[in-house]
Amino acid sequence: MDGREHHTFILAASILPLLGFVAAIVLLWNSVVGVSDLVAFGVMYVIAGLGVTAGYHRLFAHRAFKTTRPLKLFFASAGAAAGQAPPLIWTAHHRKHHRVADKPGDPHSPYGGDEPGIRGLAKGLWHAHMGWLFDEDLDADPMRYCPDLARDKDLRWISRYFVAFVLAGLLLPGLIGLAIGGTLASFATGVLWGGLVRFFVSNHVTYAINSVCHVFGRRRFEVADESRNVGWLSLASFGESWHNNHHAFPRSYTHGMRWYEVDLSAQFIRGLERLGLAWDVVRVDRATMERKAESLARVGGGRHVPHAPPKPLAEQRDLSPAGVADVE
Amino acid sequence: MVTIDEVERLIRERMRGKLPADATVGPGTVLKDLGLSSLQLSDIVFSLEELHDIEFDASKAADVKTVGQMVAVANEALSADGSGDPALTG
Repeated sequence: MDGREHHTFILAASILPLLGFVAAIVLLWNSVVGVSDLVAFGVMYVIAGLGVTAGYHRLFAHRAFKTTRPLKLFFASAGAAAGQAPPLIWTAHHRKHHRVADKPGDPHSPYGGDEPGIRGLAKGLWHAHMGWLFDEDLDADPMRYCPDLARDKDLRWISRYFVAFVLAGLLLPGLIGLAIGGTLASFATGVLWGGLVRFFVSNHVTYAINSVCHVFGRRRFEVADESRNVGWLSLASFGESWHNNHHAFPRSYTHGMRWYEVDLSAQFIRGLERLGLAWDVVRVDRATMERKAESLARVGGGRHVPHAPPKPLAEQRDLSPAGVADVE
Repeated sequence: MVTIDEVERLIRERMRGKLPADATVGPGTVLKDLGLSSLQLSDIVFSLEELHDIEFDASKAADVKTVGQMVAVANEALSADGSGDPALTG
């Protein structure tokens, strides 16, 4: 996709699901919602959610675990079907975000502008939520940030045909609707609920991680950015909203770090591990967490703290083994 | 040996007909000027790696701006590899 195509895609991917969402609310209001619609929504929400959180985010961007090729293909396809970006672009933006979080160069920080007060805050939140996606000069640079992933032929292929996966993510819920309801109308409302409404809800939950979770919420770790833990988003985001935990320990497979911090994505990865389908799962023990929390509290955190960003992956000397410190 | 022609072929393939047939691609051609996205660029570079069974220096590959630089980085990796070029021999 070139700049103009990217812009068109983002516009369509913002407006069509919004219109679908409004249409679905009208149908809901008139009680025109069937079991097939709810199943289509639920199944697709889980597929897209796991694709983005366990797949794009934890497996690819942070290499928090290893898995089999069929599961890798599932995660990459499911993440692509969620419609946010091709895997190589998503991960490049994300690694860049961690490198300079809430500082100049962060693609989606709410603190980029210089306008003070509530207006500045609103503008920052909008930029971090989805405004950044409309920037025609947005450049992800996968060559620099994820040469490890670009070396993977499967990820290149899925990235190349990204739009086809997005369309499949709209068609599949229609087929689910058809299989359950048996009518063309159930196909159409399946596309509406499992396709457009899911697209809308699922992606805004992801966007909220970049906006809400860098402004509101609690900080356990005084890291050199503004990341926050936000409990009310944890269920819908499959655990991604324990975002301050994540910025303190980016490679950890779990973002929930207490028994009460719900993290469905981490539970899924643990399930895979029990079945022998995930291994080399990166864990952080409680003592390490507490040591880090204490030492960070001593120096203080936030975006103004002096911070030397690590080199992008392509500029690091040893690319082959996934050492603990090599991926942000 | 990786050639300008091979890179041009890959560029045209990845751009799916969007590059005008009469557009010239030479060593000095700037990749971004052709309308290649950063995703297409990484796709081409790492496809070259795979086709020739070589491993680029990732930091040099990330700095590639022109077709000529891409060919140079590829051939440097090819000569460092020393085992011959499977795309030619096998």
